[in-house]
Amino acid sequence: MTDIDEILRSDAARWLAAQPAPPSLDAISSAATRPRGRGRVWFAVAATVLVVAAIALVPLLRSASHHASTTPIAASPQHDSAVLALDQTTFVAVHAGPPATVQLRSLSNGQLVKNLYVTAKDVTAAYALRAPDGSIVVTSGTLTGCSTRVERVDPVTGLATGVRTVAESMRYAALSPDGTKLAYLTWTSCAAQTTPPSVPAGLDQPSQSDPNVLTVLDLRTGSAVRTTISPGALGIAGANFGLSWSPDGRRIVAAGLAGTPAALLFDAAGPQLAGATRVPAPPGCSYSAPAWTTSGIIVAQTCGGVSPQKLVEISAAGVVGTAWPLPGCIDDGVLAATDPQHTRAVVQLDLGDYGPSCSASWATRIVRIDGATLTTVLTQPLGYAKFSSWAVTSG
Amino acid sequence: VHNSLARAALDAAAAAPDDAATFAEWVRPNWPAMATLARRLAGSGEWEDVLQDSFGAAWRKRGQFDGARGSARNWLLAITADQARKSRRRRVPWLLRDAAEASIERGTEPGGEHGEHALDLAAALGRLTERQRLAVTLHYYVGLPVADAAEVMACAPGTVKSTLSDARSRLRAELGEDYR
Repeated sequence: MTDIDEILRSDAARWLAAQPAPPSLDAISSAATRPRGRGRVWFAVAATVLVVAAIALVPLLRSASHHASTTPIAASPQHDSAVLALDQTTFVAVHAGPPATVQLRSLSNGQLVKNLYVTAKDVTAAYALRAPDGSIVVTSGTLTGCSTRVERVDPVTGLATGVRTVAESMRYAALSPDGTKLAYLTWTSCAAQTTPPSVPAGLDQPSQSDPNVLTVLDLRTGSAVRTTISPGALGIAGANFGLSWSPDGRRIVAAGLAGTPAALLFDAAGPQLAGATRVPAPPGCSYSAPAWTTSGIIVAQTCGGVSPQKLVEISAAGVVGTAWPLPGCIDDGVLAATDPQHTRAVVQLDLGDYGPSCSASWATRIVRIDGATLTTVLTQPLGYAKFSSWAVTSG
Repeated sequence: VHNSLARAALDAAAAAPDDAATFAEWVRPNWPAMATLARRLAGSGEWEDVLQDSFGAAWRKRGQFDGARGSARNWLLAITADQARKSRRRRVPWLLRDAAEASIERGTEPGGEHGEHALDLAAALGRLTERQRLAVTLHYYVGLPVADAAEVMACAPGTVKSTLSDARSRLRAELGEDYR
């Protein structure tokens, strides 16, 4: 299959070549000074009435409930069953789909150890999270949105067992240290509930591009607690947002919110934005991409510009410890993950063409935190077409 | 030389010109990009209105332009995208044609392998979400780098990249393996 990036570039070239010249600016310029017509007023009034009516009917047409359902799902077919030693030598990454592929990669050189699990073909958003028992919890959202399957994959047999299906999309999923709860961001409502009939439901809502509801889902019972962490719209400051559980499982750190330079610490049992502890970044700086380890919270620190300049370790009280300088030319796309014991962290950095002094080529780099140093695990060249082709999701 | 210097000064202006003739000259280099964006985002019967409305809106808002916060092109494209969005919202929902139909009307040749595939692509593009379609249009059809598309969309470059990535994933799924 020809890559979609190439298809779009070719179509754009063909389309642009076929277009006639735009209308005369001079004619429009003079017309712009004339009073605007009122012919659209009736149209706007009629449309408004219809939209209001449609909105009023939506609750009658759909279930009002938007909480996690407990729909059981069937186990997926068995995959390759090579025995794997989960002995601190691998990390988990997701190769973007569809279908998405859950990969185990070597922590020493980034090489692919095993394609562990392949999602259904219509899955476009997937996270794979390593549980303390060694199993991999996989969340997979479908193309049509508003539904996410949670499965537990046996790393030895490759068998996937359905945990539950939730009636919403998930982003930035993070598994609690005991493996029983899932924290993630979702939207205030499902796209299918709000979009006009001619616009299919999607992963994004047309009027609200970023998820903004922090949700903690109990995988055993299906109950969930939620809090809205930003007004919506552009709530996430680029692709560096992240969630991470504290090693004791009692709190969740969120960092990378637009307009919020601090890291926010939430009570996992009942997250409330008003009650969150703020760990402020230094003046003029912001924190993002958190990974909460037993020695502290590792965050990316950005002081001016878009690219973070270093990783720093902070305590929940805000005391800054070790710092690790990052390479230049980091674009957004910083992801951090810990192992289930929260004793180590790996960080993914996207290096790109942001800024005139940077290479025009894109690459993803995985770094491992080894004491006071950052060790590069691998650097993989990427093109636009392959951006986020895979992402580290757990250590 | 004088003209080119005057042009350069106009392009680098920190504020939008305050008289109509100079303002039109200030817009002129970006007019083709505005037209491309309007054509792609609005239907065949709408895009010229969108373009005209964009110019009018830019003229009315000229006092809000701040050259220190971004380029004239990106500011004008943001206004054009906003006008296109408003144009779509003005339409009665059940008469709303998505951009796929608009693209098809805009001159894709019927018949033949290329024509069929162009229809497929246009239809798939029309089924993207509004922001995905905007990101794809800005990046591929207007030709903006990610950083400039981010300025137009008022978000971080990474958000544009993730939106583009989502859009490509969705297009891949829509078009299937046989598409070339």
